[in-house]
Amino acid sequence: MENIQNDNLIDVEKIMNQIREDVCRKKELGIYTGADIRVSNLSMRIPVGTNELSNQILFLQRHYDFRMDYNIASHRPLLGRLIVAGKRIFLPILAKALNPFFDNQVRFNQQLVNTMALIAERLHQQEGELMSLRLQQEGSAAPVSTRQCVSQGDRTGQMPGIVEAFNKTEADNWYFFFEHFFREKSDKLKEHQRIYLPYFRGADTVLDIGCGKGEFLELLKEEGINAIGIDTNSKMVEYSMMRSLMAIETDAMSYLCSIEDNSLCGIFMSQVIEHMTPEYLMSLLKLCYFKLRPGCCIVLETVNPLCLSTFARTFYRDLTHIKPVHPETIQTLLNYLGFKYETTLFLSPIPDEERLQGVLPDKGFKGAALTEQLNSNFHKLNSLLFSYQDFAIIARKSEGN
Amino acid sequence: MRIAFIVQRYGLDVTGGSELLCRCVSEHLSKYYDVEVLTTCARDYVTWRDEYKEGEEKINNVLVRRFKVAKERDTKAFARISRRIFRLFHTKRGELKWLELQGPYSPDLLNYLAENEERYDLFIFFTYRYWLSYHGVMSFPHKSFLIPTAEDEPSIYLKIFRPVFNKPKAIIYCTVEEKELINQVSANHAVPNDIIGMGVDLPEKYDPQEFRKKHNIHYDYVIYVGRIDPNKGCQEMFDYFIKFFTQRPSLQLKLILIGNNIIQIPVHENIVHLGYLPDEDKFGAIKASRFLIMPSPYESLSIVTLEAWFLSKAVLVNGRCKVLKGQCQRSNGGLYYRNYEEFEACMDHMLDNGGIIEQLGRQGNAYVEANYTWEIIEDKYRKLIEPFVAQSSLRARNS
Repeated sequence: MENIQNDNLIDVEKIMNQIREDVCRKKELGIYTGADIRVSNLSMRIPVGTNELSNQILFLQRHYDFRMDYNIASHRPLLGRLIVAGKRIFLPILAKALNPFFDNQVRFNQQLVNTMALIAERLHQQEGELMSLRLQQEGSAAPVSTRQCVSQGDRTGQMPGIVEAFNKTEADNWYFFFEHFFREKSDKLKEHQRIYLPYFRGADTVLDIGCGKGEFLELLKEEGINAIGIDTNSKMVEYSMMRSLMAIETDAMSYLCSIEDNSLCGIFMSQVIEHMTPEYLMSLLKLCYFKLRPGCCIVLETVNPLCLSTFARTFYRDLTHIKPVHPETIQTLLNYLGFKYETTLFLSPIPDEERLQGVLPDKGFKGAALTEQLNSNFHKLNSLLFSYQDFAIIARKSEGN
Repeated sequence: MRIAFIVQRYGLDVTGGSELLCRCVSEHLSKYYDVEVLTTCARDYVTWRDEYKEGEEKINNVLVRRFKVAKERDTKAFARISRRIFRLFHTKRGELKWLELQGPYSPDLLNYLAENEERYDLFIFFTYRYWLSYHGVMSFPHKSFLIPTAEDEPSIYLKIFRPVFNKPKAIIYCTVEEKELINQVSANHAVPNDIIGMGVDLPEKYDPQEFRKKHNIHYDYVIYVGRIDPNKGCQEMFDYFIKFFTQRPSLQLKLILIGNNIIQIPVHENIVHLGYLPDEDKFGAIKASRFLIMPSPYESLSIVTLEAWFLSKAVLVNGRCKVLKGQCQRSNGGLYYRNYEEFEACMDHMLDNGGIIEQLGRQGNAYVEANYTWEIIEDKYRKLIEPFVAQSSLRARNS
């Protein structure tokens, strides 16, 4: 396929970069209101396989209030001023007269939409449970050999001895089942991951290593960014593919070895590096460096070991976690490999009500110094025990390489 | 050398991208080979109801053999199974059932292929997602080429299609993006292939002034050409344009729509629907416009975009469609948007810079001239077909 290039060429990508910068500037200046931005998501065809119901409900939530919100303007060059003046007089009167009649209907609509949202949430839970039951059923069929092994041991009067390990399918099913119960629901996770989108805006191809159920792939797809997910879990890959997302069942090292250097415009790993041995992690990041294009981002999100309660809450709940990674270690490792460290984001704060509560001193209370000391200690304990559950390190490959 | 083109529907009045591609390619290649088209009697892709007469007919010098569809599509059952297949874990059997309900289910055509296989040197199947293509490619992989006309749609991720992309002797893609998508889904890098697409033809006579006079159009406009369908991004296009016009009340610009509508078109003084127009009027309309808008999020080629470039017109396309965005990047013939803010900024940029849209149009034209004239397309097909047929006959002689 021949591309068109010559010296007098207008480069579309240059214009598009300029347009994107203008849009960002306008957004920062607050020129686009929420409504302006929302319209971009409306009326799109929702492909089969994505969460169609929640999108429909989102649409209803935006539109249940149909009370008159008039826009006074006219397209006519000459008559325009007259029409605008007429509208200025007439529309407020009409709105004042009609809106009280609409109020009840709007309240009813609101209630209805909320009820539908509730039903959708319940449905989502039921679907999840159904899926888990299916997986359990598939899993219960597979380990017959294990049960046989145990029963044979019983018959011979010997100890059962070696029980067969989970095979790959069982392990994949189990982890899918586990994630369904213990990881954030897809919609919430997508909202949480939206924070990473600015680092990949304008990117051509982004690789999501350990893509799971494909929430971030879906976000990237919605943004028009070409995204490929890889995961070693066959069930996760199958689930992503059912949602029309590009996912491949493979190991990160093998995949990265198979692609050209400088071919990726972004690498994303959410809750992945804590599943790796230090040797594997170091080799993987080294490989990531070669495969990333200069100037492009790598985002690594993981459990925050600076918040000690995460070990009790999340880290040790997952049997496949190997080692937590300290933010300073990962930052140093990235710098050592040649990445340019950009920032660390601390995410998912533990809710206030679960943190140690400070003491409010009474007026004239003599032990003010003691209260202050107590509160200072609470603060220290909160920072150590109940701060942020996750952190994300963002770094770029230096432009010069 | 006799080649059979196998396609789900065929006829001068059949609209649809891959059907049009099949008709154009078969007519152009009939100059070099003995070309036959094997198809069904269906005209409507929703029901596959038999509407054409069974048997043979000649259309533009190409022999067309039509076969009956054994069962029309049960749309309710199809919708039901689609919901299941694309949302829940399922088996290969479930996917095959989905394929059968998708249709067009014509065992007569497949039987004909089996009984007359020796009469043909090559089968070229169009559109991967239909029952005919699946069973055709799987039954005769040794003499099949596939033209998938694939888009990034849910069905391409089904497991049953992975062998369909790996078994044929060659695959002919429409665009680079289509090739990348299929490579990623099916890892079929080893299958011989080429990216060819479709040539662009202009009618002998088209006149922008004549079009303006005939339809009483004396204002500036942006044009949309194609089926007016929410699946083509038209609803979003209307939302965007209405918002854009509302924010610029003094703007002297309209949106003209050409094509049949399957959704209601909003009543707005800046939106004008002219319905379906003959080619002369359509090309005149594109030529007289400021630029063409193509809002579809799913396209495997977009002939109308190529036609606009052939007429040296710039385009504004939906950047969420990888193919359209890629075509704009390769040709430097148009801009793309992914949300309202970018749409607005692109519109302003294009409307305020007449010189730029002219240059974009010229660049688009150079791209089409370099890649999409029929001479180039025919040549690419021949380079793929002739070595294959020569090798096959050599193998047949040796054995």
